[in-house]
Amino acid sequence: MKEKTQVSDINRSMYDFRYEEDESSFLENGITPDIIREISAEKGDPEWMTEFRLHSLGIYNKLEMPQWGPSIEGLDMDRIVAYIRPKKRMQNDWNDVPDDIKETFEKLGIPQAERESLAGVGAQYDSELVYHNVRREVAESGVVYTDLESAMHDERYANMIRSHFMKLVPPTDHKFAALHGAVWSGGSFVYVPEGVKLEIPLQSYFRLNAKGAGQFEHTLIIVEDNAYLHFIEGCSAPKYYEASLHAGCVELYVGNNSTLRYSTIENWSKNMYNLNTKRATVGENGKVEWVSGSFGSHVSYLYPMSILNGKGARAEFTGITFAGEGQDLDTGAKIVHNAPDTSSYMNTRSISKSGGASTFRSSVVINENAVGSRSAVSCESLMLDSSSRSDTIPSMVVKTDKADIGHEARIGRISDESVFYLMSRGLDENSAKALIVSGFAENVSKELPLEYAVEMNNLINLEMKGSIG
Amino acid sequence: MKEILLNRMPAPTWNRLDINDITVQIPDIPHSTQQCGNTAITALGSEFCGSIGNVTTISGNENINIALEIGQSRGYTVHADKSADITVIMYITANGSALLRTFADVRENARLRLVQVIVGNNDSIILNDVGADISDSGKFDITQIFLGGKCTVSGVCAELNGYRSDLSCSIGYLLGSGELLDINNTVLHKGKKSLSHTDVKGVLSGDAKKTFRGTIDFRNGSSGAVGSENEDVLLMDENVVNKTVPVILCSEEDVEGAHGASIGRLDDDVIYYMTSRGIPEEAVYRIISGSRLEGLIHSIGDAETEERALEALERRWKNAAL
Repeated sequence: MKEKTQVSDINRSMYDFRYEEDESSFLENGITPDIIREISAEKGDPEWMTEFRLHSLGIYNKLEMPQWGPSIEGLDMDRIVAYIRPKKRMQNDWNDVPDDIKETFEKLGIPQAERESLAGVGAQYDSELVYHNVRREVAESGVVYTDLESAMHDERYANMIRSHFMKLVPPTDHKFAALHGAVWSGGSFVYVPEGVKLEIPLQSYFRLNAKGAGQFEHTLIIVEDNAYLHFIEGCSAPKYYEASLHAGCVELYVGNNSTLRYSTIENWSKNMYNLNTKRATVGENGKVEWVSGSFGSHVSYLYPMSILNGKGARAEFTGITFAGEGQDLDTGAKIVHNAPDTSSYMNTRSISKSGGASTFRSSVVINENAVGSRSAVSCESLMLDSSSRSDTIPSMVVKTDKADIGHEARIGRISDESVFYLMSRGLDENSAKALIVSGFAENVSKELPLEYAVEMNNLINLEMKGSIG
Repeated sequence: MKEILLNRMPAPTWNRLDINDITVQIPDIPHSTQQCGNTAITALGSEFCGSIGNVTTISGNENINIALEIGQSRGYTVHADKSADITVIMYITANGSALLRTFADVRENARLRLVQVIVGNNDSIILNDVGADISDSGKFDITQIFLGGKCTVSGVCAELNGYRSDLSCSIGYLLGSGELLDINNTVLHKGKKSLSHTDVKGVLSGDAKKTFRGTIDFRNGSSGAVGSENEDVLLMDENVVNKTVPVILCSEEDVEGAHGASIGRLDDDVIYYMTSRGIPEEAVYRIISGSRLEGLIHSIGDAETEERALEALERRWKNAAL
């Protein structure tokens, strides 16, 4: 039997299957006011949302492309399809989902995960959610988990959505936030009432099947005071030779004394430009925990941001990025300390191989009012060959003397001493290296529920089984 | 007057942090026909280098007083020839806006020590650029001590081109109200087994503002290189603003890079310990923060310069803002 002998690229075959799309369901390429109105009409938006979309488009047209990160020259916005009409409206019964879509999610293991370990599931295929379901006992506790469009038309939540939608990430934030405001479609709305602690996670899975398309889902989560939620997000797409775009948006509102854990395993295909925006605001003694694994995409700009607005609020970011051939992944986190006695901790790992480039980029800002705040940042990078790149660009801005901030970063290759130690215990050199890389990712895998840790480890470890001899 | 963009970070980050570069107004200085060393090796930028005239060449031990007047620019090229061991000490003061560039050419097995003590005042805008080209087994030690100044923009760009070339950079600063210091240091590891270490210690008080950008760039082919960088900042007043960006860029597998930063106030345990031994709290701050700079001043190795620097430090302590 062949054992682990070299560190290989992630095997994407289980994600790369695809079905042909009926192109009559595509709206025209490009982003114009007429297309925005058409999307809005297709979705039956309330008037305020149509106006919001058109306003966002105006901002999008004025803003420049980012000049500081990986190149996105290969992304031709005139060729991106912003919206694909769904074959069928969203279903709450798995049996009613169209066969090819059902088969897609079954291959990805979503229904099995729902049965075994989740409190609720949402599945998005291209532009719209196709399935949403939540366990009866969870719904009875007052937890709302549905698609954003349905919630917007439900009078119980309509005002809540209007007062929260793109308030944390305004369209003026950057060009792709403005684009999102104009063409967003799909995504989830989660509401956890005061005092409700959901012990098992909810999950949304986003699948982009169509060629040359964009996915612009919006996730809005409101966790009231003294509550707990773990939300898991997964995403994948088959590989095409045309560029695809993911410009989703996640807005999290974490109440006083509440905790929200947001876990992501991102495995988009290598033709994907992943320009996603995630942001959380945290109330008094509340906590947001980001757990993030970035494995796919051709180019990524991904920096979940935590704004600690309540006294004693906390943020944790744990992330791993694996950049292989043809990938330029710029990932990290942003934290703003905006209240007294807040604290934050970032712990990240990145691996680069076969010409891949990974960049850890972060910012910690401690504002004048954040007296007594503390922050610690730790990042480690592993280079597996000299055709790859690994950069770390952390920034720290401190505007008060009553704060403490610590930062450490390390970059290098697998140490000879570690390899020697493992070889002296009977492993061959390549197995020893593979084991070390696997252990390097442990900071993230130990933070995930078992099933997802296994999936993440599979993404790395199973494909480390090579074929040198 | 004209605006000049200085201290561009080799790898920019989010614009809204206002950290990628700095724009400063300087007097119109005619472009110089003289070049101060290799102007491609610069931290402040090529536009800055084009404004440097009056270039002096140094190839032995020197102890120089540089008193820059408004609108003046000065350039020094320091040649440390093969196996030479020289020390150049600069004590720099300025009235108004002034530009200074030093280029260090460190040849095989040579050692060059460059010390810069930069003492500013309420009117001074000092732009200070150091470039260094370091050959096989060459060693460049640079010590920079910044004692105030309305606006000081400084940077070191060192290219470790040779096998086992070596850079050691020690920086200390003490800033008070109305003062700004903007530093941009870049170390390019090109030579195999090249070494670099940067150590920055500083104290900010009043409403002082400081930015430190430190980049270690491991280029392909620099196998066996080791680079490290550390900044330790003591914040003494609620209105200070500190920005730190320690960057590592790496395109070589066989290297070791590390950076660390520690930013904050004095540890409560230290204050408690010292006050419990009868030292007033105000004096505790002065002792602890002073120790960061006094150690560096005593390492200059020239009694006269050390004395002048200690006097300048003492004058700054007497400034009410400190």
